[in-house]
Amino acid sequence: MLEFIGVSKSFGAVTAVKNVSLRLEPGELMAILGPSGCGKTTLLRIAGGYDTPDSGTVRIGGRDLTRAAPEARQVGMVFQNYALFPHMTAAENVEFGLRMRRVPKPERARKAAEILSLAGLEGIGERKPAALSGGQQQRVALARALVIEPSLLLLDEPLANLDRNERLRMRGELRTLQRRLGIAAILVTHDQDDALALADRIAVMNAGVVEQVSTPGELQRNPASAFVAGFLGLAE
Amino acid sequence: MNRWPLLLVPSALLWLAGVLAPLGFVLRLSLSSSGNRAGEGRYDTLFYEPGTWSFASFVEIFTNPYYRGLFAFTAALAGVVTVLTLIFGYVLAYAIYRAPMPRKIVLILLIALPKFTNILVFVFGVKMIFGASGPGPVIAGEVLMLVPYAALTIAAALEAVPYPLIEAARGLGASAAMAFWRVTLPLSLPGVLAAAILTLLWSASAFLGPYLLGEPAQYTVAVEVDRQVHQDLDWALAAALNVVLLGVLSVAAYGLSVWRRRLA
Ligand SMILES: Nc1ncnc2c1ncn2[C@@H]1O[C@H](COP(=O)(O)OP(=O)(O)OP(=O)(O)O)[C@@H](O)[C@H]1O
Ligand SMILES: [Mg+2]
Repeated sequence: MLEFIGVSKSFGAVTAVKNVSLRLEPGELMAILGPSGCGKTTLLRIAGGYDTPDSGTVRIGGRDLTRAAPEARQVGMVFQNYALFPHMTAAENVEFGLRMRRVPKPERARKAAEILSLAGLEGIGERKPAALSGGQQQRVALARALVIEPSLLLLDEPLANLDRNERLRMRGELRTLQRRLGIAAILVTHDQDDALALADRIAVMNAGVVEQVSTPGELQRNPASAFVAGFLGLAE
Repeated sequence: MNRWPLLLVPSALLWLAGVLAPLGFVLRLSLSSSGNRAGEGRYDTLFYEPGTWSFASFVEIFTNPYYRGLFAFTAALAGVVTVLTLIFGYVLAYAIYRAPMPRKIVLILLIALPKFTNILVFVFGVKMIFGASGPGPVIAGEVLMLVPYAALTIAAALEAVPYPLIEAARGLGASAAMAFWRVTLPLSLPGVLAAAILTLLWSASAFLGPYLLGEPAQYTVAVEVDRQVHQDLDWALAAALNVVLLGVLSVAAYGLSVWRRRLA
């Protein structure tokens, strides 16, 4: 579905992503787990086309899209702070991607209403983002990314700004929604509980390098390095 | 106990002495009878008749086509200057917004540079480039004077637009131009309206530009006020012109700021 082949990216003297190769299967949810500043967001931005790698190849659905602009990829992204358009209502936010695709108004409204109700947001379509709770904003951002029927969903710390209860609830909903739509997704997090609870596989990153890619169970049984064990809080 | 209101005292005193008191005087003056302008040996009633009450000056302004023409010209000039200033100011502000860091500062300094020029040197330059007569040099002069203020006001509004919003728009299928049109522009509109208020007030009460760059056909209300004070010596009429201008501008500025608040 998504393939990174030897991808590297530096910002001046900082190497944010170092020779990363990863492969995401169709319908798979992969978590990218690592401490702050290890390059998770950069990797996600490369997948979305918001950053161009210095070297390496990015393939989406078998096509080489390494240098394609974001609007040329059929990829949905939920940004770290949601990046909702503050001057538009929740419904207008969700309809934005459809409007850019010149979907006629009645169909646009129908699809937006459908996805809003799927995300548990009935009745708040006319509100602006400032009048929504953190959890509601999160769902609007998710609905906005999903309504364009992307082949790939990218989530940057989607649960980081939620309180504990919201967080647990959203975790479940996210997983259900992703399974139901059968969409491949990458979820970036620095929280091992989120990663262990949600992901089919986890890629553990440290200082720009992917140290290990395994299922949650395998990761806990056989951490590949002292860093992985330490980060998961496992006694050696 | 927070005593911040004390900090307002100096500017409040300055405002009372420098704005409110003269304004009160002008208001009273506008409601007086005109003086015996020819002189007749009485100097206490030369400019206006103290102690009298009269609407004559306002009646004159609203009935004499000369004054209606004057206000129409002033409004048209202010409108053209405001629109041009906003267009040039926006383009300049956008350049500042997109410029990388050290160059951004250089640009801002460059924009402030004309403000250090002596006004007469500036006027001479405008006349050399835009011609010595007609409305051209007046408009050009006003726009050149005002663009820096508009650009800096709009740039501040643009800087407040989070870049991830534009990236989000691109990711949802918007071209760069579409992302600008649907996201950047609407979010910078409060800044544009703030600049519009500033430009409109400034250009509608413009005195120096039209006075130095224009000829009688391009004189504004402010220039006419000066002419009444210094040549025709009808202070009551001059004051009434001022009051009408102030009223029109207050309504315009209030309308724009209501619109602006509705956006924000
Ligand atoms: N645009 C940029 N310019 C310069 N340096 C950058 C830029 N973006 C990222 N970096 C640097 O690259 C490294 C990786 O950043 P990245 O944002 O990918 O980390 P992250 O794993 O997402 O961290 P966090 O958990 O804090 O979000 C950091 O050292 C960061 O300072
Ligand atoms: Mg990050």
